[in-house]
Amino acid sequence: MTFNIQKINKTILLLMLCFVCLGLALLYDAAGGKMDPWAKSQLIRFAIGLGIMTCIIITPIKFWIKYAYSFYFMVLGMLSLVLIMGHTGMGAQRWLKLGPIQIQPSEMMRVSLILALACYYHRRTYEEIQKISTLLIPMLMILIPTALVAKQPDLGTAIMIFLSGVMVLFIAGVPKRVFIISGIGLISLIPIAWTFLHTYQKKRVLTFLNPERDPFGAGYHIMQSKIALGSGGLFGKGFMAGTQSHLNFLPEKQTDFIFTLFAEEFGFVGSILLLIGYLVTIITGIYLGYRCHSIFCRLVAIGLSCTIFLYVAINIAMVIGLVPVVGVPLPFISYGGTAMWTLLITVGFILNADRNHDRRLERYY
Amino acid sequence: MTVTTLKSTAHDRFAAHSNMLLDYANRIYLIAALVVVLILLVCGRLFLLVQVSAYSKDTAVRELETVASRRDIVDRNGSILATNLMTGSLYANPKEITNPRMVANKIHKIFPELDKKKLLNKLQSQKSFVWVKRNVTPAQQQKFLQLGLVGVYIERSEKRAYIHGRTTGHLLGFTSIDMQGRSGIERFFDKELVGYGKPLALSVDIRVQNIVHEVLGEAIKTFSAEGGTAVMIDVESGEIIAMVSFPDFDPHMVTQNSKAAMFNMATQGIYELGSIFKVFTTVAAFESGAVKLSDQFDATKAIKIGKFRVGDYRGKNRWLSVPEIFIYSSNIGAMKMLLEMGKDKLQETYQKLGLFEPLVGLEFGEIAQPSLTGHWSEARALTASYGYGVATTPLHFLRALAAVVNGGKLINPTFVKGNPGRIEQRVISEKTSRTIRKLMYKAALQGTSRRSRVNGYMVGGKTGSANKIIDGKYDKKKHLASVTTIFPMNKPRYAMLITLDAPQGTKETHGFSTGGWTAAPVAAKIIEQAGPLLGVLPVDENDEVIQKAMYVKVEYDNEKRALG
Repeated sequence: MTFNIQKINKTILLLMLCFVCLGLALLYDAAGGKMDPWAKSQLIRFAIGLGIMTCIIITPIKFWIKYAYSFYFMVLGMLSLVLIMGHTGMGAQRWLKLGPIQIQPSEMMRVSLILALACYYHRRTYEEIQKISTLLIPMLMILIPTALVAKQPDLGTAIMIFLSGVMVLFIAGVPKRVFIISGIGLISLIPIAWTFLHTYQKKRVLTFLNPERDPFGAGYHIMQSKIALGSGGLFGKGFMAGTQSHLNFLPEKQTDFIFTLFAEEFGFVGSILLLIGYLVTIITGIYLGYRCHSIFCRLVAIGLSCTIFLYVAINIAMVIGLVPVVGVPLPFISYGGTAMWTLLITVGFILNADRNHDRRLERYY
Repeated sequence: MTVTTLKSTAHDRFAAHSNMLLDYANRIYLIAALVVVLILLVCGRLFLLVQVSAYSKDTAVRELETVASRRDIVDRNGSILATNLMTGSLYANPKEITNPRMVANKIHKIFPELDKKKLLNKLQSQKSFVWVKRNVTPAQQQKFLQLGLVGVYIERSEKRAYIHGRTTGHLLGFTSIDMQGRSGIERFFDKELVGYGKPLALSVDIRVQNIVHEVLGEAIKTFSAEGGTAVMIDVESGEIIAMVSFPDFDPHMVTQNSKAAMFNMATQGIYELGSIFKVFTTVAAFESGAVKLSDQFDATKAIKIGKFRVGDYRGKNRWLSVPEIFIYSSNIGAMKMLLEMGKDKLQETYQKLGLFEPLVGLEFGEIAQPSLTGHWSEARALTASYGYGVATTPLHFLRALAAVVNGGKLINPTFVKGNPGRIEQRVISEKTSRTIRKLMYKAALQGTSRRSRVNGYMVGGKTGSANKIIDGKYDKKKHLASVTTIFPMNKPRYAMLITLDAPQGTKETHGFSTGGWTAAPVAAKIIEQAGPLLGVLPVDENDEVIQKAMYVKVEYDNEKRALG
């Protein structure tokens, strides 16, 4: 099949470009009105990512079905490698050095897990899926990387990998009772899981439950971001006029907490518009999956759209104090190379799946 | 028979297939609905945050105001600098305790950091009041209350919290554990701050203060300086926008700080600032009427003062125009101007500009008072003309400089927003002020202070470096490197003085450690970042109107000398 540029969905592409431009503007702002140190390198990363995304879109979908597992095992291998010899950054082992570039295999796992799961269910019939025994392999496929990432320790990404995997299982048609029973099981497991958490993770959770517990410690982040959001008011203080961007309230204002910067300068109205933008992107992605004829394409498109949703939901919920602080970036906007690339790859796969939405695909290639 | 079976299986298959499709569709709808609901939930939460803050005016923290017994301190934009946090403190009445050992054991379990023996001694004492532990967290209070001990009580108390810690250390000062102001703003306004009420709004802009603190701190590290200070003042209102001194200290942990860190260079340090003082020499020369902008002086030979010969640092060894003397910071030129106007005129100008007068109206306790003893001899006046032998504090300097550039009005500096106690006094003429502005602009354009320039902000400045005085003697190896900067020079609004204490040259500065190399880039970095925040709009400096307004003839005129 030849590549036809007309078949690429424009809505998602356009929204993505808007987010990236906004992100660059905010990074420029966070640096006090300068391209260095963040905006410039983010722009370069975006350009590279755009190339990667194009490659993914134009590669025939057959190729991705054929190599979905290989891709998954490759990333899984890198994840294990990180634990053995990873580069430690900010108290956690997340990075793998490959020559001049550093990558975060945990980020790549978000995509490769969904591809692998989609491939697995693509090759099963509806009747097979209804059997509990069919669930064993996908569960392992989800739990092994989740455990590896949690071990790094990167709780936020681990939760995201797990949840996005579970969402794919749900869309794939795994019996609903499985979700209900394991949901109850998980809740009863919480006290045990608690003992496995690192002290700082426990602290974050406790502080979240009661931010005033430690106003100058871990709760400080939440308290300050709430102040920033509140001080933005209805219409915000205007671009480049926020207090946050020029103070060191938030040590990582350019990464996970960039939403505070945005909310302070663009206010409630701006924040709602941003959220609507994300909502439209995600729902469009889900719709694109919905209209796919093949299981693989559908699961890839919906699964990856759900990943974007998890990014947005967890990041903003974290910033406004709805969930504990775990390191999850704001998609397309936060500073960070691997996150940017992962998201462009994500969009690439959604668009590729959509491009093949009216095709019936073989189980094996 | 066979036909019906076939039919029914086909029908069953069709039914199963449509069931499957329905199941898939339903699941997708459910996920989509989940996405929508969760995002709406986030929107709702955002709305609540905005509501809360709209209700409590400026920020969410303001709720604390109602329970605090010491007023908050905020910056000029209402951003909180100092506030109170509720805590509890544990005290005991040993006379009511029957079993001190048991009580001590139980308390020690909650506070393992307490010394058990000391605690027991306290509880066994004959007093009727002893503090057990100050500032206890709510969780610890809860645990303590569960013990149900007799004779030990909680007193609800507050702790002063400085949101920006070290950044406002010298400025705000700190409070004792009993919430009494011990230094800085906290001490000066101690009485006014006690009780409930509106927060005290300072003139300081915390965004700028933070930039200044950060940039100066970096420079001190880069140049391995012993310390440094930077002050920014609004030349029109006298409001101090930022004041930083290094080494700094954490106001939350004052006991650990050395006395050196508590010293506020900006208000307590009396320094010889060197060539920066040539600004005032030039002012005096113009005001006396003896020297005109178009005058020229012979700067080829060093001048003898007593047994010393004073020449120029990297001198031009030729005649210089007055603008050149200023721009290239010629010592010989400055002395020539002094000789032209007469020695008394310089001392008089210093006094008019308040360089040695008290900082009347400044709301601050830690202020040093520079003095100017007796009537100057000619030798004394000569050294003073290039900034030696005269020492003052950075804040005194800025008050004088503000008057020089704002059109000649000496205004009291203040830490309170709006300068409610404004005192204004004309000290020099509008015309001299205008001329000095042009000279300072030119000095930043092509003179020693060019590294303090940020294009578009019309920066003007003057650098200075003077050997440090240690035990009454000049230390040849250590010096104070300073730069004073004004922006925008076409309509002066902000003036800064940045001083580095004993900086060392680096590879990047080719080993130089003078003000032009070390302090001037600090000014540039501050202006670059703070300019947009302060609402100073960059202009096109090559614009004809601006060029014309700032024009001053710099070049030395050979023909004129021949004629003269």
